[in-house]
Amino acid sequence: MSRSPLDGRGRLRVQGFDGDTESVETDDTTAPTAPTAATDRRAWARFRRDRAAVAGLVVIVLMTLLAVFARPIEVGGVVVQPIALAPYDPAASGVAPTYRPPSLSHPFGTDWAGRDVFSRVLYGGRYSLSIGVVAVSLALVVGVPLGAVAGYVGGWVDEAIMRFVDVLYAFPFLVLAIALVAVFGQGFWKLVGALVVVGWIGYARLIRGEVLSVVERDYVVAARAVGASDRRILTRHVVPNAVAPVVVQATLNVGTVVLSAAALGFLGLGLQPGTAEWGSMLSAGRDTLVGGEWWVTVFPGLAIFLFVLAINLVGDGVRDALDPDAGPDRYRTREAR
Amino acid sequence: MALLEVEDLDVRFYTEGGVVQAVDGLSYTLDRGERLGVVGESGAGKTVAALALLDLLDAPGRVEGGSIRFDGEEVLGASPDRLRRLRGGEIGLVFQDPETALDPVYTVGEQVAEAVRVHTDRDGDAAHDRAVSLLDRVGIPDPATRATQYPHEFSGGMAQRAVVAIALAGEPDLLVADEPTTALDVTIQAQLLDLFDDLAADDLAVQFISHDLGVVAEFCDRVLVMYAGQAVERAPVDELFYDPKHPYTAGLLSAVPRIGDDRDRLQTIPGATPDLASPPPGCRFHPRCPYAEDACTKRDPPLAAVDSEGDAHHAACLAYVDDADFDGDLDFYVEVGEEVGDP
Repeated sequence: MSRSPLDGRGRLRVQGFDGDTESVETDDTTAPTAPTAATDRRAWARFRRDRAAVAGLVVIVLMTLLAVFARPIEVGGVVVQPIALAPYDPAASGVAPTYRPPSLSHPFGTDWAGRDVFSRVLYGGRYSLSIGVVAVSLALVVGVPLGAVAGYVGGWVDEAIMRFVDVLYAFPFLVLAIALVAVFGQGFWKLVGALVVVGWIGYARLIRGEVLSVVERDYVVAARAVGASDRRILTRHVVPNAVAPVVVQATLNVGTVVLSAAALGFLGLGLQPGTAEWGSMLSAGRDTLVGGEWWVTVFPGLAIFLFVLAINLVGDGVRDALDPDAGPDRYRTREAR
Repeated sequence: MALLEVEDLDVRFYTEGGVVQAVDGLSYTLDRGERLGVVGESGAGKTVAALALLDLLDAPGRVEGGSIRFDGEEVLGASPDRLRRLRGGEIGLVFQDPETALDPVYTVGEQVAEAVRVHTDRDGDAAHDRAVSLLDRVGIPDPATRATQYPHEFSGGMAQRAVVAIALAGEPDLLVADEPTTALDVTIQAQLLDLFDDLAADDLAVQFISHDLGVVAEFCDRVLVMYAGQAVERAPVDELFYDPKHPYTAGLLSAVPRIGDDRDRLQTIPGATPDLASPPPGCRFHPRCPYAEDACTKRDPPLAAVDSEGDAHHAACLAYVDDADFDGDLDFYVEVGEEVGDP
């Protein structure tokens, strides 16, 4: 201490040991830890230790690869992916007699039109998986900014957005989706649109709640105290710290969305009838449940089951990896739909 | 002209339990390069007053009256642009808990660089270089490497230095430090005080909020004692410690445990800080004051000069108000004993 106005004036010198502080200068530095381990790298390390989650990830990657390599992909007349794992064209009818039970040449049997179910299940992954991923991504794009703005700005903006969310929540999901499909018609993007309309509200609510708690943190006040603008604070400090539970929820929701798409497909509201989407295949084969041709419905059903299970395992793993303290029930608010 | 002039500052919180008068008629000034200590119990309004300087109070808190002039310019009601320049550019803020004042998702260097970018026209590498030199300025060893690390890799003392670096990024004239050493252990505290000492030597004014009287005695030029939202005593530091005029200050000083003291129990001020939603009538300290008389329950004493010579020392007690109906004597005194040597 270079100066102290009270030096030498008796026992009021509360800090009686200040002569020594100069010599203990070194304790302040932590031993430099290993080079920067970013948060996501630590999260990945935790995720990798979770065997169920890794198994789920393997299943998802496998199903994705199978879907991608099921049939060749052409972009503008140029073949960009020449491999065809599916032995038959999934849309071609009459490749074999109808309703053949599983055999070596048709491992999953054939359906009412003589189409190869194995090829259709492989190829159908393209629809189901892409619907899940695209619908969830779009719902995030809509829900996260709206929820974040609602939580950060507050006031009537918050009221307006959240009451709108409440109104959407009040509709039974299927009724709303049926109404949307009835109005706009069938097709991939319309189906995705219906799923986004009912999907974003969950993310908006979730991130709003997180934002409300994050804005109370000191580093947000600190960012305001150095003169950062509101937009900067929201996008750079608030959202990145609030988004983890939303990521978990979104991962889990990919499964829910695939299920919803399958449910809509089963009701005949999904893609065009005859498309090799898993839900539509179940729907088209529902008469065969009575007739005993189990393979027509069991294999697409199994595919849905496997994919959703894998997604849930991965989602749980992501949650544990991002937030090891959170209990298992924390993000399960809207799952019991 | 003083660098900072606060006049009659009034801050209220509108809560469900009623209107809380968190800061009530607070006035003080701060000169360039001066170090002002603000002390008081928890809930005395120290932090609220500091946040009000930067207009950082959030609902339900609101500045209801008074004036805050920085460099002669009114802060209250300034435009958002002006406020953004003020925040960090003219007044830097250092928080109590360094671990929570840093955003866990960015490197420390990035957070300093962000503050640099807000207040200077440096960007990209220039901002980063400036950040590294700021980290160096606050005494972080190997600043280039430390800049690439995340807050969780910093110890408390190092993190607090980084927070100071962020506060310095806009080259402010005033540093408001809100209990900057409370979360740290004493050796680190001493090092940080050295750092503040060093910074204040460069003509940086410091408003140092603390409830550690020892730290204040060591560091500050002048002290403002706050109780229940009001300033109760304002004095140069040695006068405050050797000749306290307000019973509350005397109570605070007597509560400081001393080495070599043979009392079994620590001295306390009986009672608790009043509920600011319904403060006691008259002097707010009277329910806890051993010298309180009838008059104290009726009249709220103004901050008055305690003696005729000079106007440096003020206290808010009826004992110093000439026309008050106060007959008693404040019969406390400070005993300056033998210097306590090393044990």
